[in-house]
Formats: sequence, structure tokens, C-alpha cells
Amino acid sequence: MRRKPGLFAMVPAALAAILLTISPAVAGAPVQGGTLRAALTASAPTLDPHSGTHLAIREIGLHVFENLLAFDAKFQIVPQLAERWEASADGKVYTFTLRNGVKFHNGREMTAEDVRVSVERFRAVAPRRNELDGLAKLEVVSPSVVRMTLNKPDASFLAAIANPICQLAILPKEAVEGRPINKADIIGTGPYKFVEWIPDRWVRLARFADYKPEGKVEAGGFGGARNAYADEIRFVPVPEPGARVAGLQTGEYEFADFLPSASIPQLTGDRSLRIVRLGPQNYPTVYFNHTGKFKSLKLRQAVQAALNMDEIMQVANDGDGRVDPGLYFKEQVWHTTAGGKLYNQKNPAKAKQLLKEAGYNGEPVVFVTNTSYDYMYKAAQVIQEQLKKVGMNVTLGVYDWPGSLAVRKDMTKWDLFTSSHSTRFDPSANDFYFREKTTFFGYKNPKMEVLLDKASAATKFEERYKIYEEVQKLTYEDVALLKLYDHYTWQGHSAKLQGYTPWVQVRLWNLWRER
Amino acid sequence: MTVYVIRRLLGILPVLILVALGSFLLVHLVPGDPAMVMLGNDATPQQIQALKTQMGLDRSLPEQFALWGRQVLRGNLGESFFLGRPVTQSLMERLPATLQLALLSLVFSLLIGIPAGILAAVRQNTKWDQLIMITAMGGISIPSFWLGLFLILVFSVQLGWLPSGGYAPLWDDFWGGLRILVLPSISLGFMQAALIARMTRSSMLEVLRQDYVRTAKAKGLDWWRVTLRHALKNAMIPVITTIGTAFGVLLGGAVIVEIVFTYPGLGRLVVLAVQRRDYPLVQGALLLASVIYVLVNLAVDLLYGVFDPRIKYE
Repeated sequence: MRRKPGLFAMVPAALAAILLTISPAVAGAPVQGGTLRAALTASAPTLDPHSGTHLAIREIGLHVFENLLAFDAKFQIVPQLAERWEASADGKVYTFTLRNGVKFHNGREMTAEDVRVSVERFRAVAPRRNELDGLAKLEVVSPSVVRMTLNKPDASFLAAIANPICQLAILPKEAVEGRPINKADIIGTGPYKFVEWIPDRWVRLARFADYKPEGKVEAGGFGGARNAYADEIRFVPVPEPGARVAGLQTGEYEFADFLPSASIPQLTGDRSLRIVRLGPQNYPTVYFNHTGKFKSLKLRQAVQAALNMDEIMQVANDGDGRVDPGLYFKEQVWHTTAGGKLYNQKNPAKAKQLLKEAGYNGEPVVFVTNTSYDYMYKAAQVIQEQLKKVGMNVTLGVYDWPGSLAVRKDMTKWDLFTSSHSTRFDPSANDFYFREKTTFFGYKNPKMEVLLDKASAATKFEERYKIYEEVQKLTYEDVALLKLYDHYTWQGHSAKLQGYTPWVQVRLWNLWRER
Repeated sequence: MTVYVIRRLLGILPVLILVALGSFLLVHLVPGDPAMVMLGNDATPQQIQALKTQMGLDRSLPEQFALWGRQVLRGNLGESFFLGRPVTQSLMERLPATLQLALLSLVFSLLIGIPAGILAAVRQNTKWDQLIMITAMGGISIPSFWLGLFLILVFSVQLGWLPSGGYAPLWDDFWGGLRILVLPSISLGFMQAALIARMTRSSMLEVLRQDYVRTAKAKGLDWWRVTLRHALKNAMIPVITTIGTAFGVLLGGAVIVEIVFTYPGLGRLVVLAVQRRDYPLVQGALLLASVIYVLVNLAVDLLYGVFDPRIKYE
């Protein structure tokens, strides 16, 4: 451990901004070896990749497992375990040809039969299984070819295969066949193999010597070659932010995720560290309960008109973010500003007028938020103040995250609710908010259902993009929900680590330690 | 004495039944749904319902309690929703970590607390007494997590002498494990040391005023013998009670200190389980904590006899 000078000296924020390294320059050739200790925020509930959407499952899982397809840095779908795929003209039959010579961590070569068994298991146990409801037939054509036939064309099918959230990972048949949720053997094809898991202490992974990287696609996002340079990675759950900061400073961790904004000026002054910004990571949202008083469009419009997103972002995340109306980030091919005129209006006079037209007479509005995610709580406090200024009587219902979710289930107990949307890899991931059958906030609009049906049947990107532009426009016009701002987070690593680029979530492949 | 111990052990049963019922009701009545937490914000109501059915959470509360109670009677605390492994195994994995932290904290608090208490008593109303009592007041008032963060800043980040967190079993890596334990033990033990010092002081003051102490001094016994042998032994009964309570608290899991120091003990496990609404794990941990507490109390009661031979167990 080294002495860290100047700990108590707070570097002014302006200087910090100059010193920030957004993406460290890659110096020299990659070096193999060493153990990389990474502090994550949460403990993985399980390492079975099919079992859940929890962040820690995929943060660790993406180093161990691979899907047939992946998303590249531009969020486009690229082959991963599949060498290529073909879609029939009617958009119903997909044929995947697998890469040759890909080995599982148990030494056996991957075949089409493993793909069949993995997909079947995913359809049986995974929380995301309904995304494959349209899959009518799954055939092993040859040891290296799998054919999937759908009931009807589904534009989001490939995204469901590539989605890293609750990965449709390909595992060997013997590790998953007949295994219930959480009980798969942790054997994948990825650059690192599983060694040891001591819950709440660490997950140890070791470099897989027989890893066969994808070689045709440029490495970026989750796509392309994922080379393992460190001999071992230890993922350590460190839920307390101060402990992540201290561990990074003392060199106990070479990498730490979700660093608190308040620590950034101090950390950027430490030359043994690199602090990088992961932006955007998610966007906070406010849902209306469409079955209660917010059934009234005018009332929803009043809230929409009243909000000042710059102010909310400043308080909720110390200004680390971006005010943008897109339901998909600017970095994504799906980004659009459609409906954006209605976003961030900062117009209290209009809000007051709309409240009058809605016949609002100071009835109490219950705004449910949580303290587990402090940015949501802070955002709710600012929103409460902004709405009070236009004459709304807002009371906060503050719970921890599970408590707030439980309250949300009872539609008589809340009017507004804070949450956030993580990076969506395909716009269809938001469909369920807007469909009457699946939404949890009582939203109902036949026009929206028609648009979503059209989007699902469309197969060309341009066609889908236009429809989702309409969806976003309607979301704003109908005030279905409110997007607040693009939320940035901070990560830090030892200055000796080379090759790290922040993107969506922790990725420690193609990363090495300078000798 | 054997009869006494058996009777005390049998007395644990009603306590456990009450704790089981209390903990079951407590975790189930707090708003929260493990299925929603597991599946995340993006899960549809259908997915949540399916998982609830799979976990048996769609049954009525009495039905769930009966099922769990039957399991517990067979010695099976159930399976953790989140960890997907038996609750007993998860608790037993954490127990050694908590045990070594609790023991070291206790050793630290005894080494500081008892001598400080004696010194304050024999030097009553001097600067020594005032200094020790002010420090003890600070020890009781300073929250252990704050002290922990402060110690990390000074000894880990600034001076780089000790690690800021982690865990190594002492039987695998004694010195490495000990280095990790120093700061959390001080953070935890400081408050207990303060309590023990205050209790030792007041108990010693009472004993030092007794006639037999004056007689001992009059006989010409030296100061050490009078203070440490005659007075201290008789002053120990209330101190042992304090020590026992402290040890029980430490064993139950030092919740916040374990989080600050990234220490994988029982306390951190329980906090995570509560945050995830992992009902079987919370219930199992509360049962274990109460068993530990009762056993520590029993040990304390038996220790009274060692210090005061007049106490008989019947």
C-alpha cells in the first residue's frame, strides 16, 4: 500500500473537469498476467445467466458466457458464437451457422445441440422467456447449424437473442439440461472461466486458455474479440460507496464501479488513478398512475409543463448528466428528439393554467420514491418543490426500493412513482410499459397499441425507426411517463490498467496491466 | 449445575418459537416482494406472478408459516431466495468471520476497558479519572461506522498501514487476516471498551469502599494485591454482565461496520437479505442470533459462579 498525498485537499471542480480522463490512451502492447480486483456495487444473487436481470449477474456473466449474437459499440447486432445468420424473406425463419472450434470451459466443443438445449432452457426458466414466445420451432440442422422458426415476423427477435440483460447464454448441454433456475453449472465459452464463488466475498474467474475470440467484427460494445489478459479477475461486492473509494485509493481494487460524485474532485487529484465517466448509464423516470387522478390528460400535461429538468439533474446527480428528450440515448442508433418540444418546458404559468383547466383543487398527490437510489430520492424532492410552486399538493412516500415496488403494486396508494430505465438495447424493450396487458401504471391508448403492433411486424431498421419515433412523440403528447435526464456515473481504475473504455457496464476484457 | 444447564437450555425453546413467529411476521408485513426485487424494474406483472408461485409466495401467510415451521422443526431453515442455497449453509459460512471479528473486538475492549476502569476508580476525581471518563463518553457517543470511516481515512488511505477492508480466515492467513481485522475490531470494540470501562469504574468504586478492602489495606497488603485480587474479583459480576451483553451484540453481527469494511459476516448478510426481502434468510439469521444471545447469557450466568463462589446453581 502506498501513501496517498493530498487526501484532504479538495481539488476545485473546474480543475477536476480538466484533469478528467474520459478514455485513457492505450499505451504499448497488451501484457498478459496478474490478478485484477474489481469492486462492484452488488453481490450477484446467482451466476446462472438465464436466471435474472440483476446487474451483477451480467457484469460477471459477460466475462464467462457468450450469446449467439451481441451488440456492438453502436448498439447494432453482430455475430458472436454464430458466425453468421440468415433470415428468410418473410422474416419468419432464422438460420444460424455457428463458429467452428469454439470450446466450452469443460474442454468440449460447442455444437448446435448445445444451442438447442440452452434456448429450450431459457424458454422454460428465464424471466425474459416471453420474448421468445413467438418461437414455434427450434431445429438442429447439422452440428453447426440451428434453425429457428417464428409464428409471425418479429423485428425484436434478434435483439432478444443478443440482449446481455438476462443473457441467452449458450451453455453445454450437460450443464443445463433439466436444471431448474439458478442451478446451471457455470460453464461458458467466454474469455474467463469460473473458479470460485464465495457469496458476498468474491467471484473468482481465471483466463480461459482455449478461448476462441470472434475475429471478423471490430471489438467494441459486447461484440468482437474479448481477449483475456489478466490471469485472474476477482469481482468483489462492495456496497458501501465510501469503501469502494477507499479501496481504490489504497490499491486494494484496481477497478471500482459507481463512484459517488462527491468523491470525484478528490480522486481526480490522485495521479495513480484514472477516473472515467460512464455516460449515460440510465435515465430516471416518473410514472403516472393512469388509473387515479392522473387519468386526466390535462393534469399530466400540467406536471410535464412545470418540470425543470436542468434543476432536477443538478440536485439529483450534481449536474453529471445531460438533458435530452430521447427515450434512447444520443449514442444509440434509435435516438430521436421526436416530441421533444414538450420536454423540459419549465413553464409554471402554463402548468397553472392546465391545472385550472383540469379542475384541480389541491387534492393530495402521493409521490412514491425510495432512498435505496439516492438520485431518485433527490429528484423526487426537487419535483415536489417544483410542483408545489405551481399549486400542487404533493406529499412524498419514502420507502426502500423493495418497499416502494410493493406499494406500487397497489394502484390506490400512489399517484407518481420514481424509477429509472437502464440502457435499452432495442426499443421493443420499452413496449411493455405502453401495452395495456403488461404495463404496471395503468396506461391505455389504442393508438399506441397499433403503433407497437406495426413496429413488431416491421423488419427493416428504417421502418422500425420511424415507428418508434412516432411512439416517442405519442409518449410525450399523451404524457404516458416522464423522462428526467440522462444520468452519468463514474468509474475509477488504477493508472496502470490500460485499454479500459467505459460503455454501458463493467467490461474487463481487452484490458491489461502495464508492467 | 447440570440440571440447571439443562433447564436453561430447555428454556430456549419458547424463546425460539416467539422469535420464529415474530421474525416471520416482521419480514412478511414490511412492504416488499422478493419476486419484484429479483426480477427488477423491467419485469411484467405476469413474470412476477410466475416467480411468486414458484417461490410459494402466492399462498396465505398462515400456510407459509406452517410450511416454514415444519421445515425448521426438521432442522432445515429453508433455502435462500437470492443465494439459491440452504440458509443454514449460508449462515454457517458467515459465522466464522463474525466470530473472529467479535472475539478480537472483545479482546480489544477488555484490554482497554478494564485497566482504564480500574485506573479511573483508584484515581477517582483526578485528571486520569476525568480523561478516561471523557474518552469513554466519546466512545459511547461516536457511532462505530463513523469511527470506521475515520480510521480507514487515516490508517488506510492516508498512512497506508492497514487494509481498508476485505476478509481472510485467520486459520488460512493469520497475519494477513489479523491486519484486516485491526480497524474493524477497533471501530467495534471502542464503544464496548467505553461501556466496560464505565462499568468497571463504578463497580470498583463500590467495592473499594467496603470494609474488607480497608481491612486488607490495614493488614499491610500491597496495593496491587488489594486492588487486583481482592477488589477486582468482587467487582467483576456487573462487568461480566456488560461483557456478555457486548459479546452477544458483537456476535449477532456488526451490521454497519461489516458494510463499511466490506467484511462478509452475518451482519452484512442480514442487511442484504433485508434489502432483498430474502425471507428465509432473514428468519434464519434472526433465529441464529437469538440462539447465540441466549447461549452467551447462559455462559455469563455460569461465569458468575467462578468469580463468586457463593453463587450456587440449583
